[in-house]
Amino acid sequence: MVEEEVDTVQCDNPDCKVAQDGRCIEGQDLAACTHYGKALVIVDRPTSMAATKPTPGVRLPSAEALARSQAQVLLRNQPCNVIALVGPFDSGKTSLIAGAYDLFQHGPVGGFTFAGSSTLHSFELACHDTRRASKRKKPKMERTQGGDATYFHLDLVASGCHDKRAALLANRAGEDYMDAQSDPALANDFVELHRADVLTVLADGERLLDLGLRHQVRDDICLTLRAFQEAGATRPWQRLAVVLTKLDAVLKDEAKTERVLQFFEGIVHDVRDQFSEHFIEIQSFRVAASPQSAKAARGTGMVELLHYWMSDPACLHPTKVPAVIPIAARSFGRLRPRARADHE
Amino acid sequence: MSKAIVAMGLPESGKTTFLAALWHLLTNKKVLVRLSLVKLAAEEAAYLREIATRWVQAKKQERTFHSGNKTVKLTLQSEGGEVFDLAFPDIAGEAFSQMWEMRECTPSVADALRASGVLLFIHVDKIKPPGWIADDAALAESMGDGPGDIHGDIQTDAQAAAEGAAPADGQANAQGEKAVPWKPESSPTQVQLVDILRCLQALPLDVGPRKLAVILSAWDKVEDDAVSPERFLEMHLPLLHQYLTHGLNAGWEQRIFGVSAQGAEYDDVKGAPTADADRMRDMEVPSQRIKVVVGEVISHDLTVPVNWLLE
Repeated sequence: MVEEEVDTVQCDNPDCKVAQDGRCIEGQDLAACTHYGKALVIVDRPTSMAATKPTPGVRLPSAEALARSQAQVLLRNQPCNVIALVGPFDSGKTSLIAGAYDLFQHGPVGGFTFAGSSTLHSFELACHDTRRASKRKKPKMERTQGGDATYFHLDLVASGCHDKRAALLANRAGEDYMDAQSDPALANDFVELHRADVLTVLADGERLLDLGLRHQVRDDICLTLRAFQEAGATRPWQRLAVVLTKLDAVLKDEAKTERVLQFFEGIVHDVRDQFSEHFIEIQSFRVAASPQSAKAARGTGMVELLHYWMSDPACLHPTKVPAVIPIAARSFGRLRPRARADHE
Repeated sequence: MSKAIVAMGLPESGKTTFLAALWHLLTNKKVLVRLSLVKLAAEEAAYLREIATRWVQAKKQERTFHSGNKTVKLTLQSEGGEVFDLAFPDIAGEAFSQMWEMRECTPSVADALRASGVLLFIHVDKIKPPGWIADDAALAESMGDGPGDIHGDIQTDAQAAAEGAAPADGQANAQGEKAVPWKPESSPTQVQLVDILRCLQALPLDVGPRKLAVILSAWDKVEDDAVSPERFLEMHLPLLHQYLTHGLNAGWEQRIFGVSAQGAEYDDVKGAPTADADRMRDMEVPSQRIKVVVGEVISHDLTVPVNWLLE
C-alpha cells in the first residue's frame, strides 16, 4: 500500500486563512511570505491583571499614632484624659511620652496598670533609639515630625478601679509651638490645647545648665503660655504641669545643680504669678524619663507626673442642680398621689 | 458538633511540638487523659503522623513555615461522653509576625483566628526583653567599668546636621557597628503579643468573648526556678501580664499553663543529639516526657488546656 503524501498547509499568522482558501492574507506570493509553512504556535492567553493579583490580605487595626479624627473617635468611646506636651525642639517631649510607656514594660507604675494601647508601633519607634536593639552606644532622641499633632494612646487602670481610662498624649513639633510666640493666632489651630485636660510645658534641664540659654527657657515658657492664652486656646478648667526634664543632666553637673533647681523654681513662680487665674491648678515636676547616666534612675519623677496627668478631668466635675418643682396654678394640679407603703 | 480552637504564637513558640505530642498522647493511650480520640482518620492525618513520628524519635520538628499551614481536624470525646470535631489550625509563626509588622493576615488565617478558643504559645527560652542603653551604662558604672555617663555624647539630628555629619542612623558606634533603624520585629516579645491579642478583640477578628489558654512552652527549662506559670509570666512578661489581667474585653477568660511537650532540648547548638535527647528516647513510656503545670498541679495530660478551652 502506497501512502499518500499530503502537505500540510500552515502559516504562523493566526489571522491567515491560507489553509482554507490558498491565499496569503498579506497578498504575497506563498514562497516569499515569511510566515507561510511555519506552524502556528499556540500559547496560553496571558492572565489578566485581575486574575494574577494576589488574594487581598485582611487588614488589621493600625498601630501608628492617632490622627485627630481617630483621637476624636476614641474620646467619644471611653473615658479619656488628653495631655498636651509643649516645649521647644529637643526639650524632651518624645522622651516623656516614650518614657511613660516604657515604664510599664517592668510592671504597674504608681498604682496604674497597663491595659492596652492602639499605638504600639509609634511607642516602639519612639523608644527604639534608647534601647539595646538599636545597637547604639549612645541613646538618641527622635525628632518630632512637623504637621498636625499626633496622639499616643495608653489605656490604664488605676488601682481599686475596674474601668480603663485612656491617656491621649498629644505630640507636635516644638517649632510650631514656638512660632505661636510671634503669631498667637497660630495657636487656634492647635486643637490639642483646646481639649487638653493637662497642659504640660517643658523646661529643658540641659539648657538651664547653660547660663546663656536659661533665660531663653524661661521666656519660651512664659511667652508660649501667654500666646496660648491670648489666642483663647486654653481653658480655665485645665491643669498646668511645668516639668523640668533631663534631671539626670542637672544632677550630674553638681556645681550647678542647686542653682539650676532654684532657677527652675523661679520659672514656676513666674508661671504661677502670671497664669494662676487661667488654670485650675499649676504644679511643677522634675523628671528623668530616659536618663543617660546613673545620676537619676530611669523614670524618676514620672509616677507623680503620671498621677497628675490621670487626675479626674476638672471640666467634668458634676454640679448639683436644685430641683425646681413648678407650682400649678389650679388646686387640682397641686394634688399629689399618696405614697404607697411598697413604694416609699 | 464542631468546636474550633486556634493555636497562635510567634515563630518557634512550640505550636507544632504541642500538636505532635497531643497526637501521640491520643493515639498511644499510655497515660490517662481527659479527651479521647474517636476516629483515627483525622484530617491531615499524614501530617500528624509525620510530626508525631519525629516527636517520638526525639527529633526537632521542622518549622511550620517550610511545611505550610495545616488545619488539623480531630474527632474527640470528652469525659462526659460528648463527641465533637476539633479544628486546630497549625499556623506558621510567621503569620503572626506578619500581623504585628504588616498589619494584615491572609483570609484563611483570619478565619482560623475567629475560633472561640485560643491557645497562645510563648517559648520561655525565646522571650525578647526590652533592654535600655542607659541601664547598660549604669550597670557598667556600678561595676567600675568607665564613667557610665554618656549624656554629653548624645547627638541629636539637629546637632548632626549642624556639624554636617552623616545622619545618625548611618553612624557607626564605637565598636564600628552601624545603628540599626527600628523595625517592628525588633520589638519586645510581650509588646508583639499584646498587640496580637488586641487585634483579636477588634474588627475584623472580633467574635466576642473567648477563652484564652496561655501556654508557656519548654517549661522544663525553667521548672527549676520553682515559680508558678502565672508568676513566671508576671516576672518575665510584665506588660503582657498586666494586659491579661486588665486589658482583655469583658467576658474573656484566661488561664496560664506551663507545658513541656518536648521534654528536653533534643539537639545542641550544632544540631547534634544531646544526652537529654538520649534520655528522652530511653523512656519506656514516651508520653511521660510531657509535663503540664497548672498552678501547683503537674500532670502528663496535654489535653488539659484544650479541654478547658472547650468546657
